[in-house]
Amino acid sequence: MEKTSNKISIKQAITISLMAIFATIIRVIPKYCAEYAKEGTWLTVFVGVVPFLFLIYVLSSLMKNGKELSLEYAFENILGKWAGRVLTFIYILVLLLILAIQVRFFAEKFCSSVFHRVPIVFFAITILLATQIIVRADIQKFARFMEVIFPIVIIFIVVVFLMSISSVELKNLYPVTTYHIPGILKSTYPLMRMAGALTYMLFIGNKISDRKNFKKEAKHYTIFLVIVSLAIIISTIGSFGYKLIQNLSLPYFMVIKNIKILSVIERIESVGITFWTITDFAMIAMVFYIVTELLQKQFKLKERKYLVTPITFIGFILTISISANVFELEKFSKGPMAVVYIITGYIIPVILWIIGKIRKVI
Amino acid sequence: MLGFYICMVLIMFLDLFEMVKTKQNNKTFIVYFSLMGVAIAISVYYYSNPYRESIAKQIMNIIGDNK
Repeated sequence: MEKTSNKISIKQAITISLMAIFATIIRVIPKYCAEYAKEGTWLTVFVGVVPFLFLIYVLSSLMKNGKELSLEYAFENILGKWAGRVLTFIYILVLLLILAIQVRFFAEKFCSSVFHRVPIVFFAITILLATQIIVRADIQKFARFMEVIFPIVIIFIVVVFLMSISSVELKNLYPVTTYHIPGILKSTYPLMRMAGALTYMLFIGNKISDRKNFKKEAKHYTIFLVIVSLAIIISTIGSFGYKLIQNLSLPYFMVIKNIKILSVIERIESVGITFWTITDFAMIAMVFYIVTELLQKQFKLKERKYLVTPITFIGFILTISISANVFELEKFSKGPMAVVYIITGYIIPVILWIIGKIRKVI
Repeated sequence: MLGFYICMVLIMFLDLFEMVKTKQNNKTFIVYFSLMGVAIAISVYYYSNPYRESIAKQIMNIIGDNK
């Protein structure tokens, strides 16, 4: 980490993105991918990594190997000042919506798994106030926290995988035939929504010190992403089968709950919930930070911290008004929002990269 | 929920106090109050009708994905 300024290293930035991606992997991937790929869900990770690597190349090219300050400057450079600013404001609106959805999912998760009688408003308020404290401070503190917690989360996921191996049945993962290929290809669609976390992170490129190493570091961390996704998919689909997984609201939580070794190690779901909460916190704090940072840069304000309270307020109102219940939220997240995630996280950067190449500005 | 609103109002006053103390420019105040205004407008819109559909439902109705 850079000590002379308020900047973080690219390694720390990607760690934050990965922690945010883990929140999506745990909640979305086994359930949504199983719908298309069935027994072959575990293979989607290897197929899904190809577009992810392409995005890394595109983002690295957009950032001109570290010459550009951050992504919105790349927008203005390619599209012109006003079109770039309009696109940035669209991103701010999308990020506000993502913030509300993530907070709501966080609250709904607690209500449906542990605290059934507590109103969701309580959890929404708790996470928003906790996030507000960390977002007010410099990103260094948040990055350092994520850097410390990242290996612990990885170790926990690997331990859960090893402990759940006894309940994994091969008939849930095999046979994989050529008939599964269209489903596996189709299941990269839910995987691509994760790409957004990496794209959004580059909006704070001006806070990252060694941007030129983006491609190299991102490729290294893709290995972690593949290992973690594979461990989660095998432990969930392997334990319950693809049919049951689609009907479970929290498949990974059920896997952790079912772990029982020699009647000594059991009921470790509280540990699981803790780590899951941290990954959700990473996602919420990252989005929150980016929204305030983008607003500060767009309005050219001296201080960012004064934007935190109004955004908390907007985030809270959107959280409670975003959906009537968890089913509506899931439908919205799986339908229109999945398209928005892919457009903003993947398609727009790729289109801009093509335009930049044609106009020879990148 | 009332506790949260009281908390937010207190934080808002602390923010404003600090903004005056650190002599922030007018633009900061305008942006601050504009964003607060947006939050209040959304809450008034949402709470004014208890039978109002959620944002997700409204968006899905607009794009025709309401099956």
